[in-house]
Amino acid sequence: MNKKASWSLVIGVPLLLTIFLLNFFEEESSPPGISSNLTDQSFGKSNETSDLSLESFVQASALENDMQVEVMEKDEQAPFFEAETKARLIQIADTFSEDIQYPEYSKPIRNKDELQKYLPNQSVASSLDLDVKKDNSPSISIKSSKLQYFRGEEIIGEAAISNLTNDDIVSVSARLVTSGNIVAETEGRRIGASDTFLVSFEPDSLDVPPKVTELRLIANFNVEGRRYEIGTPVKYVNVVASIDYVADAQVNDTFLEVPVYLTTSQLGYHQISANLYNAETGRALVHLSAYKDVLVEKDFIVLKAHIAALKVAGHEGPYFLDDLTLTRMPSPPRFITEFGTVPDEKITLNGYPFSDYRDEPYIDEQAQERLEFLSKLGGER
Amino acid sequence: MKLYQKLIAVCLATAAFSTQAAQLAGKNVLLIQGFLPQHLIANPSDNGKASSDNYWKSFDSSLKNSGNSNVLHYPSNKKIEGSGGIASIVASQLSPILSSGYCDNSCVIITHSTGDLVMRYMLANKNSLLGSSLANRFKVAAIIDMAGAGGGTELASLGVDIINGVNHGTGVIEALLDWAGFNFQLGINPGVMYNLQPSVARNTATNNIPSIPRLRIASTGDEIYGFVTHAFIKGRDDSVVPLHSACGAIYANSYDSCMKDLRIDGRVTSVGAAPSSSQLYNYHYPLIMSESMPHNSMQANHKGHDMTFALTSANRYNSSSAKTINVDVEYHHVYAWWDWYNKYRYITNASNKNMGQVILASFE
Repeated sequence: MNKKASWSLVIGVPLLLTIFLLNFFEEESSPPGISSNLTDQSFGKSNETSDLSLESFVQASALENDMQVEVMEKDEQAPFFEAETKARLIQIADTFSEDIQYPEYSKPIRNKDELQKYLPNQSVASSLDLDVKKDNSPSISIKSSKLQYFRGEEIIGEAAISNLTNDDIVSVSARLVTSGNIVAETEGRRIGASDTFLVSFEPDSLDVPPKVTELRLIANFNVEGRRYEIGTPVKYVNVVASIDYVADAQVNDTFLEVPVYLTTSQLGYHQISANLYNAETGRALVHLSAYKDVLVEKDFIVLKAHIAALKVAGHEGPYFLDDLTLTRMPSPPRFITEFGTVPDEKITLNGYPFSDYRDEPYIDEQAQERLEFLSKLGGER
Repeated sequence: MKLYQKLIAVCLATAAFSTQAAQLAGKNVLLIQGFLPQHLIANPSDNGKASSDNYWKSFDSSLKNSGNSNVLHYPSNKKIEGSGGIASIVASQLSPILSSGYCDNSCVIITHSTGDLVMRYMLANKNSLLGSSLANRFKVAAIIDMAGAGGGTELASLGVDIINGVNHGTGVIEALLDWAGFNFQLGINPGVMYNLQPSVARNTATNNIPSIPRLRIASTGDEIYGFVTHAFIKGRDDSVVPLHSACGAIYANSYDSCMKDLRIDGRVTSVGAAPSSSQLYNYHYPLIMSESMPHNSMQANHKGHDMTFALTSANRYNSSSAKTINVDVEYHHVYAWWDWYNKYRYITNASNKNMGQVILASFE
């Protein structure tokens, strides 16, 4: 923000009027009662509707001399002077009240962005401009196919270079390291005619010490003899549990319940999550999750889809479950999250008419208390 | 531990937390800090307690208990997970606090930077970390995330790169040196910087989180070293944390603002590079934005930074039932003479306050 434009004071009234008119038409449907005569220390009023005019701008200049008086008067008229954040807090309370209509463990998925939240085990590309001082600098990146791999899985990544200005010859190699020590190396294979290279590490080629769970996938780009590197984290973990099967879905009160049976070698809290899809269209409907303190090696955890979330989706079934995860949650004394295997295939589930459910809104007492707190924060002083 | 020892511990904790607890809007307050790079080369002997006290030294005193008993600390040379890691250290501090009933009437947690990530992890796993009895007493009304690093920062990825022997150029090395105050070298322990890599952070407890409103305060100011670090962080940033993280966005994209219809400097206009409401993590809500506030001014007694309240769809708000408190948004607009009389939205006199004072003024 540049405040040194004092030249605006000498441009003249006609130009100001022109500017204002241009600005007026640029604004998105300004509500009635647009205020005038403002600086960053004083506010105009909206409840006294007055169209902006040449006269109001002249008044604005004149009023600067009386700023202190003006601020005091407006403070009396504006109960949220210096606390305008309350307007946002009440808006947040409004949004929060919509968000808590559904259980934390049964959230409707309305669009692809919301699905993005619930796709598990995604890697984020690391990237680097080769010359940060240049616009459109060549840029390198590396992205593994996922963050967490089980021991014995092939580790795959894509290394890419963009914004090359000519036909530079590029080759890519990659290595996996732990604490700086190389555990595997490979050459990148160009994908078609693109500037993206596939790097993969067969499990047999990996020499990873048993206790090591954190690796780094590093891509090395050779561009006309000059070398550039970029890395990304990879987790390489043991399997401690597995999902054995998923039982038939049943309606119970306000929920569609899906029992998921598992076997674990590490007792304690386990969490399962999955996305429920429309079996006919493949559209994502509801994100489900549940956790339980598992006290025996073979147990089950029930995923529960609330009728309110199902009705947002507007689909009574059949469904399928996909994007499953199974984790053993961190606990004393080791404080680590561990992972279990899940079925590769989608799991088909029967649906039921919405009339089979008890149709009642979901209410979470603690969330309601938080809502009241937010509303109180935004409340009038 | 014998029963009487437990009872004494609980009594002491109760005494410590019941006297003059710092409150915000009637709720007891907990504070949790961000990443301290110097811990990576100087292992703190006290699990970071002294550093943490110093970290919050100039934060508004009314938000701190006497003796900083509401300040959670951890050493940044530890990762979140693992025996002796940050989660275990924070859990051991939470145990007496929760046993004393400090959060029975719900707490408000204020996080800065990495504290966002740590607290998200703690709350998502509170049952397994603390046990169901204490977890049930860990009631939280709201979390205020200042410069939240829950989505990670690209600086951390570059730092872990170098520790693993990646050959980066001098630009990256200088940026990390200026940020951390020392040269990153092959083989040093990355500590919680490992968790701060976007790929790791964004797989840490981002889903299945409790329905606690996370009120985001995001900025894009310049630290002294900002001129070198900005270049390596995606989108706009506060010299350390990118907006994609501070806003609570689900995509690690280049963003210019947290709101689609409000620029980070308060200008009311359409912003292309900003997350939509459905592109934010669950229960994450941008609250305040500042164009000029740098990363480490959030928890300091630094003033002079304009701030805007992140109201979106103001026209719809003004005509909706949400407008129950008679805040006329138009009343709080400024038509900026220095910018062609374009419309700006400010928190009045925020530049005369530090962030702690703005939070107090907003919440009381």
